[in-house]
Amino acid sequence: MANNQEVIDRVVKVTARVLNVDPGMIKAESNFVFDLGAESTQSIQLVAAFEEEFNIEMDAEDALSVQSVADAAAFIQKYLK
Amino acid sequence: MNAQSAAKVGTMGGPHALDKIFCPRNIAVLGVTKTPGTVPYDCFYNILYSGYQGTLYPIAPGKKSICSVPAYQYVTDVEDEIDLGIIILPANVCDRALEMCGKKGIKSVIMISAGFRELGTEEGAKREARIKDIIKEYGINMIGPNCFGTINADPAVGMNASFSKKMPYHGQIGFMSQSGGMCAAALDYAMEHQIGFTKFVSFGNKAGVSDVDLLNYLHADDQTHVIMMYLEELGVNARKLIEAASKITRGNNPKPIVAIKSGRTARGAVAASSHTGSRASDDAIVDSVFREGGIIRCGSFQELFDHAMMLAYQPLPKGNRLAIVTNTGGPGVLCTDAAVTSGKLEIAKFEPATTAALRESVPATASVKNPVDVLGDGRSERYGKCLELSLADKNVDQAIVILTPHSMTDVENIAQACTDVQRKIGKPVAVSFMGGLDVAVGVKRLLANHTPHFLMPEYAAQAMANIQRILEWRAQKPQTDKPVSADKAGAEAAVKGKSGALTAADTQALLKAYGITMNGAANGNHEVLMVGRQDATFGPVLGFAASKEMADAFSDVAYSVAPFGLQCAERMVSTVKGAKVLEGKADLVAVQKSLVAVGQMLADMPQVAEVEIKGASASKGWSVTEARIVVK
Repeated sequence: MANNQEVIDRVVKVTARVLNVDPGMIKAESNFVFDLGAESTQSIQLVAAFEEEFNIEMDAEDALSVQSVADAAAFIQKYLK
Repeated sequence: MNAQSAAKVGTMGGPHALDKIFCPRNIAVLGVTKTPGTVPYDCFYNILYSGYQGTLYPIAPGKKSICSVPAYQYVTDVEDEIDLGIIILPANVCDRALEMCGKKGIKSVIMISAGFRELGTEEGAKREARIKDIIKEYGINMIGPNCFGTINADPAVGMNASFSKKMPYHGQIGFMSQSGGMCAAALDYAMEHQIGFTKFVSFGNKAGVSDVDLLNYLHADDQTHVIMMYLEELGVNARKLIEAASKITRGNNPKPIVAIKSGRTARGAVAASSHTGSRASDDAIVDSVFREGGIIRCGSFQELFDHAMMLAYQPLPKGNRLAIVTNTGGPGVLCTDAAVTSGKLEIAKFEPATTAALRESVPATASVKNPVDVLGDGRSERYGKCLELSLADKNVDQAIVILTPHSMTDVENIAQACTDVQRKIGKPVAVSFMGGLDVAVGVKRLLANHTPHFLMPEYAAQAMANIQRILEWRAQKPQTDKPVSADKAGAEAAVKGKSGALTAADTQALLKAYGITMNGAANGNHEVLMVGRQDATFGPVLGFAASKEMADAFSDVAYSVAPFGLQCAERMVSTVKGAKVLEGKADLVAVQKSLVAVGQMLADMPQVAEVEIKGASASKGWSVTEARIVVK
C-alpha cells in the first residue's frame, strides 16, 4: 500500500498541472470545482491524468463523483492495494 | 431626501427588496468558466456585453481573469459590498456557494444551477431543502434554482443575466416564467416581432422568491404596464397568487395580467370521475379562479403575445363598439362573427354623416356599412381615409383592419396608414394582414411601428373582447361582505366522529347550521347545482352549474375559491352559459346567498371533503332537493 501523504502530494501535483493552478492553493480538503475551479471537461482530464500518474484504471463514473483532493487520494489508494 | 429614497422601484438602488435582483449596482458570478458555450461562461459574457451599467466580479478559482476581467477565488475575497450573487455551479456545491454569499452579506441571489427538486429524487429534494435553510438563515432573496436567469432591458441597468444571447428591446411588458425554455422562445419571438420588455425573469423551482413576490414586484414597477406570465404548477401559493392578481388587475394602479397555465390535459382524467365534487378537472377550477383574479388566461404562446402586444401598444377603448375595415368580404364576416360571438363586442353603427363621407370615399359597389369594404383594389389612400372616417365616428371605440393581398395592394403603405390614423385619432386599432409572403413587408412595418398585427382577424377580435373583460373587471369595486352567521357548534356536532357520506339527518343538520333548509321538496322547476371540495391546490372550492346536465354534458361549471362574498357568487352564476335559462325564472339572489353559505361551510370545515347539492328554484326562493356531503 502506498504512503498516503505521497499519494496526496502526487494528486496535488497532477491537479495543479491539469487545472493550471498554483500548487500552493491546493489543500487536502480543496473541492475540485468550488475551490479549484475545475470545469466539467477538466474533471474528465483529471481522471485520465490520475490514471496515467498512478498507472491504474479507475471506474470512471465513481471517479468523477469524487469531490476533494483527499477523497481522490483515498479513492486512488483502493486501486494501489 | 437622499439618493436611495429618491430612487424608484425598478431602478438601480431602488427601494424594493427585489431591486437588487433586477437592478443591482454590482454582480458577482460564482462558477464562471473559461469555456464559451457553457452556461457559466455564456451568462457572464452576456452580462458583460449586454450593456450592464454596474460592476461585475467573476468568481473563478484558479483563473486570473475571465474575458479580461480580474477574477477572484471566493466571493468573500471581493472587497466591495455586493448587491447580487449569481450561482452557476454543479448542484452538489451550490450550498457552499450560497452560504459564502450569506457570509459575504449578499442579500440577493439568482441560482441558475439545476439538480434539485425538479429531479424528483430524494437527493434533489434534500439539496433544495438545504438551500431553503441557508436562505432563511442569512435572509437572502433568491430566485431559482433551476432557472434561466433574469433580464432588465432598461438601458439604465442593461442587465442580461441569463443564458440568452439576445438582449430584448426595452418596452412595457414584464415577463415571468416558470420554464426556462419558454423564456428562450419568448425572447426570440419578441425580437422578431419587435416587442420590448421591462423585466424578464425565469423563476424555476421557487425555493426562495415566489411567483407572488414577482407579480407584486412587477406591479410596483412603474415601467411595467402589462404582466405576462407562464405557469406550470400553482403549488402551495395558489390562493395567494390569485389574491395578489385580484389586487393588481384592479384598484388604484391596475395592470393587466395575461397568462398561460399549462397542463390542461394532464389532469383531464380527474374530470372523468363521477364522484361528487371531483367532477371538475383542476383545469376547470384554474379557469374559474384565474377569472376571479382578473387574469386573462391564454391557450397558446401566440395568444399570449397577441394580448400583451395589444395591451402594451394600444390605448384602452372607451367602449365595446367595433369598426371593421376590410378589402374583402369573407374575412370581414369571419371577424364580425368572432366579435359578436365573444359576447363582449358590438359591431358599431355609424353616424349618417360617417356613412355619407365613406360613400364619397369608395367606389359605388363598395359597402359602407360596418364592415366597411374598400374593395380588392383598395390602396393606402382609400384604406387610410376609410379607417379614419370609421375610427373618428363617435359610435366607434376601436377598429380592426383586415387586408388580403392583391396585385394592386400597396401593403407597406397601407400598414403605415393604419399606424398614422391610429396615432391621429387615438383609439385602439388591431390589424390582420392575411397571407404570408405578399404581406410580409407590411407586417414588418406594422411591428416596427408597434401597431399590433394578428395572424387572423378572429384573433384580433378575441383580444379586443378580452380587453372588454378587463375593463368590466376593473369597473367592479370589490365588496367586503359580512361573514355568514353559522351555528358552528351545530355544524361540528353534525360531522363529529363521522367519515364518508353523511346520513340524510346529518346532512340536513349541517346545512341548517349554515342557514340552508333541506326539505326534499322542489320549490319550482328550475334546477341548480352546487359542487364543492377541498382541492389539493386551491383548498376549499365551490362550483355552480345551472343544472346537473349542463355540468355533466358541457362542463358548464363556474368555480370560486371559498370563502367568497355575494359579488363573487353573482359572477359565478352569471358566468355559466346555462344562466340564460334561469334568468327571470329562478330566484338567483337566493341561490347566490346559498352559494356564499356553502362556500363558508367548506372554508370553515376542512373535514368536509366533498359537497354536491341539487336544488330547484322558482321566481321566489329555492329549496334543496338532494344533498350529498362526504367528510373525512
